[in-house]
Amino acid sequence: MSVNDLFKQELKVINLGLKSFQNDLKSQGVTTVQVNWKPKAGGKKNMLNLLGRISKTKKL
Amino acid sequence: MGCPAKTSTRARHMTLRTKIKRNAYYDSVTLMLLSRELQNLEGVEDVLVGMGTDLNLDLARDLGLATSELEALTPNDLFIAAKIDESKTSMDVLESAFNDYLNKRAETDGDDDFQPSSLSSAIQSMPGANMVLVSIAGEYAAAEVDEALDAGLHVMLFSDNVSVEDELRLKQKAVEKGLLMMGPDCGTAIINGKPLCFANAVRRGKIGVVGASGTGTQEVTVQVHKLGEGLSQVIGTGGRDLKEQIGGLMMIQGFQSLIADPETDLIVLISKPPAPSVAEKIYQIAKTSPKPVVIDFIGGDRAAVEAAGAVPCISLEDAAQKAVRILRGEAYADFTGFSLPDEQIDRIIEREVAKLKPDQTELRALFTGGTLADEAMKLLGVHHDIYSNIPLSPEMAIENLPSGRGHICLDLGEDKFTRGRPHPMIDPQTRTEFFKSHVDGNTGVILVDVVLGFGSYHDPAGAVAESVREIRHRLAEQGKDVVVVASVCGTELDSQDLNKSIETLEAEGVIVLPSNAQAVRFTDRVLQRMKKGV
Amino acid sequence: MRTLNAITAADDLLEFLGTHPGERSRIHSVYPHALNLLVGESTLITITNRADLTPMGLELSPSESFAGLARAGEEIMLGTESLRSVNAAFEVNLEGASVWQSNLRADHPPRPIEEIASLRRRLAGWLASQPATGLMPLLPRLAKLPPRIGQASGNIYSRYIAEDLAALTGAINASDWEHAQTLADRLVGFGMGSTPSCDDFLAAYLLVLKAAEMLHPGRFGWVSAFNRAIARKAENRSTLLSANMLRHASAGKTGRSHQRLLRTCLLNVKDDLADAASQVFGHGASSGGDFLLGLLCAMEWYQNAISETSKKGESAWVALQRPQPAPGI
Repeated sequence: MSVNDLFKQELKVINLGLKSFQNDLKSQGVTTVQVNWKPKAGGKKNMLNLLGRISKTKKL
Repeated sequence: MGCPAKTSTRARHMTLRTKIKRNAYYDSVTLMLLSRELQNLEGVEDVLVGMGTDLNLDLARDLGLATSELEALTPNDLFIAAKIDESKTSMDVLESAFNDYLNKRAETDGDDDFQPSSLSSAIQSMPGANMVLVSIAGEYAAAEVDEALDAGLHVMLFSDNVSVEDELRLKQKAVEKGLLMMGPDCGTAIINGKPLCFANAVRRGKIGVVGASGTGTQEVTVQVHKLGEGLSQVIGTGGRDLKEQIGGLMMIQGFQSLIADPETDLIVLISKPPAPSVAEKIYQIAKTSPKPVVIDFIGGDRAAVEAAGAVPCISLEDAAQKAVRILRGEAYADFTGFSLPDEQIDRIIEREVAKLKPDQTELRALFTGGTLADEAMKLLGVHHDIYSNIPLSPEMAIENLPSGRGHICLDLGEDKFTRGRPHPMIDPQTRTEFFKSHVDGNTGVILVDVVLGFGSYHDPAGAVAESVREIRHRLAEQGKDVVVVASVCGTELDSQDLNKSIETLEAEGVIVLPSNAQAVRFTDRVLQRMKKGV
Repeated sequence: MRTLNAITAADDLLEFLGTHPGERSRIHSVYPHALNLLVGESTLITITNRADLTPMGLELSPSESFAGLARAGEEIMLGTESLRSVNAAFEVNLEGASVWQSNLRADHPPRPIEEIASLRRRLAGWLASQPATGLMPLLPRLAKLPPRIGQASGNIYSRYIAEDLAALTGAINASDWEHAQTLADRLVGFGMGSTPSCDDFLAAYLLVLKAAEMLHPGRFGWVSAFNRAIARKAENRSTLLSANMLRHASAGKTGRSHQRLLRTCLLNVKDDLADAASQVFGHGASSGGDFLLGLLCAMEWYQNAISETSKKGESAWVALQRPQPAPGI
């Protein structure tokens, strides 16, 4: 379904992440579903602290 | 605590109240943000939130907030000690705000709605799904976007920290399948009239936008709305799209889809100047476009745009103005001036500058929107020496500021200031702190942006107004005042309400201009007038 | 009955379980990514589904969720093979878990003194570029840096404790251990968070002191007594979580990411300082920043302490052969 097809349809959004984005969409009457997302088991070998990774590390 | 002096009538109504939560464990950022939320409630003069250790209780006593109930606390109990005006609020209100805040922060699992635990089960549970909005940590985002594209869904990728290689690969896949992959680091889009992430409520209409700059896109859409026209589609591309390695894949994809869209009559493209090879590709498409194209490559090559048969711009506001005029078949020209007559602008400037003392010579420009800060630097940085974290040249980097003296313009949304804390558009605290630490008796003029809309703080104008109050009070002690200039990027349809926001600012003596470009131009004139001598 | 599998178990926890068979614990607190069990009056066991394992801790796979698993107050039976909830709702299986060492080890030579100064500068510069939460607004003062653009004016806690914190670092730099102990009375338990800011700050000192003792045998004999005295203050005056943290720190035990950072600073190993610092910084909201500030200050002490001549060190050691922590050199 191309971009121009999307323009003709009703937007239906799957939200992966910040709940506030989904809340905003809901408040505009957009059909959405929130994914209760977790990293896949055994995903990354070196399971680093997520919080520490969200910020970019600055090279000294 | 930085509170202005209260009158004695208010002081008479203040009561000390305490709330205790036994065996309560919250991390310190939660408690800090919570303290601020409670401090901002009406009727709260002072509040301290902490664990009941002896020393924290000492602090409560020293601040005059302790009551006898605190004596029985153990270190594992949480206390909220507040001095409140009971004609305006109560401890119940504080407690309710406390609970609400924590519930909001909990990213609640206790949601009534079904929450699938993976993208694939979400796709199965919602067969008509056509878009995935991804804002999880960057290192996991690419895999999820892959899955979304494989399933034939369009993607808005808000996350950053996605590698260039992944971005290229994902965009190539998206283009191959005719899908949108907006991002990474894409903050703004409006698809089928629905704002996604950070965007303003604007009417629908015939102007389509493809933008690589979040707040730049917001400003253009807001200005179009102000002029009475509307937006068909607003497509984001992410900040890196027009670099050489990515080749403008989404800009081109979006551009072409707007050319093919029957509801779009005119197209606006917004970005920082692209890599030359990428600009070339875009100009080629523009040359053969049956619809008018307005191109704002902020600070870019005007002649090249004209040669491609497109219309160049000198500012985001100018892009919107030209788009509207061309749509209406009217004549257009560079908009270099103000909405108000020049004489009126000059009168305002004279009046404002007259408030200043001779040693008030410096600019403090504090921006929450990156592209808006960029626009400011492009104009002001040419006429004045401005130190910045987005300097026009390396020697003007903020780190080189000579012992705190000189003009400063900061993009507070830049990485350096947002590590571990919310973006200033979401939470005004960073800017509030900068107002306190960076504005002093040498400041002559302050310039800010106030961004409304989805995703933004619930009252950004209120937060700025509060800071302006604090600054004027502080400077009044030195017998000084200051000029404050702002623009509000928003519409009357935004929840924060454009008109109410403007009123809130003007009530504190802020000069509010109708666009970022005008606010910047006004500030330039103020600085030139200040140089001439007060 | 739901079974959760532990991937890794801390060595001190395994030892504890071995010596406390069949003992009961209560769930103390539940966080999105961790569960704390309370044994007896004051010993905590932490179960986490993230990589940051701590002393007396267990690491589960990140796909294991604590949501809806248990509530505070529920009883958990302890055993060497599993931890089982008394109402048989879930158990944490320990078989097959790898063992993780909870204490700092001197398994490499110490970082050469010439490198310590530059490392301190880099760490200070990195920390100065981070958002200033908790005690961090005091960075310029405590690390003796010029105030920089981007430094916030501080918060009520950092402003209130500034003098006391400066006095402590001064006393430690002057090796005035007895005075430092007294000053710590003004700090333990103070600040925001379930581990109060000052406790995180002090934990860094305790760990660096312990490391110094291990890396330079015979020169810092008073450390154990000093560390114990500081940690003991937290037992009544701070939160349970903090008391446990300081108890561990006094013995040279700390979590994975903190161990990595300490090793990067103090041992002659190759690692990415910014990366290691980021991992600690992102941990537990402002706790990481407070810890890093303490680490920076403790590194100043360490650099000066190891650059004193060995003769001075010997006489100090001789003078310290007493039960009480000794006055400074």
